[in-house]
Amino acid sequence: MKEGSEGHTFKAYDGALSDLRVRAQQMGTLVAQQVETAVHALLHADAEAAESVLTREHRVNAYQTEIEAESFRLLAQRAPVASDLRMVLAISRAVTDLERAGDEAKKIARFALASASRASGGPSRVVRKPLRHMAELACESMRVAIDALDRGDAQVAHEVARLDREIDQEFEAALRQLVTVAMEKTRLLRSVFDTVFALKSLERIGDHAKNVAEHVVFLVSGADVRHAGAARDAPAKESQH
Amino acid sequence: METADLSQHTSRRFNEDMEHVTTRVMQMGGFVEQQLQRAVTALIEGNSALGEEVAREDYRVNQMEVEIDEECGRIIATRQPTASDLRVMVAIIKTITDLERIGDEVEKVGYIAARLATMEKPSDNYREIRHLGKLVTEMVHDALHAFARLDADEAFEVARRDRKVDEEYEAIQRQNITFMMEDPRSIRRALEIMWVVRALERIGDHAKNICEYTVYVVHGKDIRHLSLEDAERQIRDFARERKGA
Repeated sequence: MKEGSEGHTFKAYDGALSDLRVRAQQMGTLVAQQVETAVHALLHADAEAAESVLTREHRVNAYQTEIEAESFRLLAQRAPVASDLRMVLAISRAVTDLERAGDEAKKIARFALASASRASGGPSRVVRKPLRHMAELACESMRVAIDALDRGDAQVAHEVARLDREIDQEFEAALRQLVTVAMEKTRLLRSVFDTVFALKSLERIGDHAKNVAEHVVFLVSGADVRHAGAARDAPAKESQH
Repeated sequence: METADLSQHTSRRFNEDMEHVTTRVMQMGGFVEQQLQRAVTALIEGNSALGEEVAREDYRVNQMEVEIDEECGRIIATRQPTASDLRVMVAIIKTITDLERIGDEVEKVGYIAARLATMEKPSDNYREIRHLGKLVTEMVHDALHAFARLDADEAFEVARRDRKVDEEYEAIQRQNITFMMEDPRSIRRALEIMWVVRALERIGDHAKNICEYTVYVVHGKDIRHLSLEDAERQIRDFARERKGA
């Protein structure tokens, strides 16, 4: 292994650095799986699937702790510069978002477990449709983002951002619909209330997927695209929950 | 390290960089705190202009995050700090991420306050929210105070308050559902309030995260996925071992 980082290119990484990236990819795969399983548990009132998400949660956390400790060691011992430094920082950030997405999957699994144990068996019919659509979108955005991380592909960031916008719109629409349901059928209030939080978790997963994609852009090109144009569009930005 | 604070460091140039970046983090924290107070005030007083203003100002928090983040990257690259200094840099990078997220939550509260201003106020006049708002504002303030002084004991004390926040959060949400059942006309408002309460609860989580970074800097231990009890015990044991050795 070389001491400095000169001459390193994105492809020719030394062992420790590429190992770090492999670990992040493995974590990403696990998180994407957690999201899919949680969503399946929710839509099919599958208590077993929900349980399996909850048992695997500590593995997501372990990945985070381990990858961050390793990033730190790299920074401290090798003092990487330029693209190496960028890579380490981007991976640390991506890992934070992956962990949070894993956290949301855990919340969805808890909700799935609670609603599976209810006599009705799963989310009531009126809330199932918006849930399913949101769930599909959230899973897809996570898949695309993890894929981008795997391949170091900055192009798909746009795709993930588009999906995230769609998820946000879908979320707003679902909320409006649920408010109407709640007003008409107050006995469904509690169920609606819970569903709103599950939808919120799905919406957050979309956000984290978008963030992961942005970290990939930073990793590949060095451009920080977070809050791009934030100052410009701030006054026009409409409320999101 | 235990007795030092954020402004005392070995290399003089690194020290100057650190002092500068720390000042900026504290400025960012102060601004976020002020935004939070104003958002809660806007809600309680039904001041829609203030709510919107708070929401619009969030871009400044984002700007500060990006700038401080870049500065940290530059310091790491040019000064190549030692392990313990590097730990401080990592903690700062994480802290500003949490501050930025607090800003996002505050932005939501601002927009909701603006919307709620046109609706009738709930009968309790937001008493519970006022209290929860005060709790989390103090948490943010004290978490940053502990961070600036690298006071792990204070950090633990502040982190423990998050449990109280969670309890209040649950209580308000339960009460909220009861209100809705009693008066379905209040549902629209109650759902908006639900998001406010949720945002405040999240802010408590972020303040707790900042406390965990302080512990990480002081003790070199990542306690994020431990319960606070386990974390404190492990750190006590560790300190005892060190003394014994």
